[in-house]
Amino acid sequence: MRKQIAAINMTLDGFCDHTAGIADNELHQHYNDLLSSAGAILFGRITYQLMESYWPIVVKKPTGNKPIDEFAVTIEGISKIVFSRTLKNVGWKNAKLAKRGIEEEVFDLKQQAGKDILVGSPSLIVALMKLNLIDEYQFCIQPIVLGSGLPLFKNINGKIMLKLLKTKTLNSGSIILYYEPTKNDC
Amino acid sequence: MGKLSVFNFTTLNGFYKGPNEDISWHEHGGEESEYAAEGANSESTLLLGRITYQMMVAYWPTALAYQNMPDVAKGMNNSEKIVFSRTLKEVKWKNTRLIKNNIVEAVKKLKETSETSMTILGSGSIITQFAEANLIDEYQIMVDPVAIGKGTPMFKNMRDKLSLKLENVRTFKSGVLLLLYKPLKK
Repeated sequence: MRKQIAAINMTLDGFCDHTAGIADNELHQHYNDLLSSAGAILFGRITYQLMESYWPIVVKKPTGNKPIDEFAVTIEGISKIVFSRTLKNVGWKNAKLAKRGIEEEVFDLKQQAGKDILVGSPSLIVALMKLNLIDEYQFCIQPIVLGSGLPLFKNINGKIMLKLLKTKTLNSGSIILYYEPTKNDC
Repeated sequence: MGKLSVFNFTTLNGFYKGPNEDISWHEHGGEESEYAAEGANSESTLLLGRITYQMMVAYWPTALAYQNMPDVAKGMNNSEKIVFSRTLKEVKWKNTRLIKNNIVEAVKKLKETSETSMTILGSGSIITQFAEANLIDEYQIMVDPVAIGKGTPMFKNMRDKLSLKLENVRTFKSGVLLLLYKPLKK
């Protein structure tokens, strides 16, 4: 069965803010490798609009930075499923709006043959976590403290206990923590 | 000059306590307790805010503490301790004194006049103040493999962004991680 992987960058004080981190070549390469191992990405509206406003441009006009240009091509090629109550259509290549709710859609996707499924939107991660549909978490902890911002697990109840699988340290001082779920009383 | 360190355990989403001072999510096994005992029995002076002091003084001097974690209890009770509080009238723990005002100046002076290292435990309120004054030399953060939805982040109300350098990573068998950071010079 395909794995549902939640991957997101976070500051040391638990805020996910895509502009705050150190996005160097090593990090881009790390996410390139992750994308290449996946068959689909799930997006909430905000993350989708964020990504769609930038990456297609890089495909048309490459920056000259290899990991960034590679990322643009890979993310364009991968199947993208967007969950939104308000968007009427999505224009990005290989993207489609989910017609069903997230539980049905993900349950179905996992049954199909194929590579792993990624999710990086905070709202979707929490929704899938509550439904016990995430098989692996990859948190990239950036070596920065912001003081405020969007907390990742804002809407969970109770506590989520996880099992540490491994860690990967990057030269920038970012560290990726790999966890899998245990029991949870969300 | 004395070194000022922070030693704190947090959830993986950056909280050092849940609502109403809840730290029940925190479970440390034997390996981590040994590590804590080493720290508690070092020559370091412990620096505490009011809330952390009140929680600790209600536990460490008791028979239960000596029964559960004898080495840590010994270290905690015997260490030199300073409590920072404008509202407490007095402190009633062995080897403990109270500093009521100008705490940043007080710690600056302690660093300048003494070679003794100091360690802040818990005490999110004072961590923020000393971090903003560039007085903290090292952060030892134990990341528990647990996430909670509501809580207090370690650097609550920090005004500026803090950039850190990851110096060391240690994994405990339980999945708890010890991350050692030093501030990047501003």
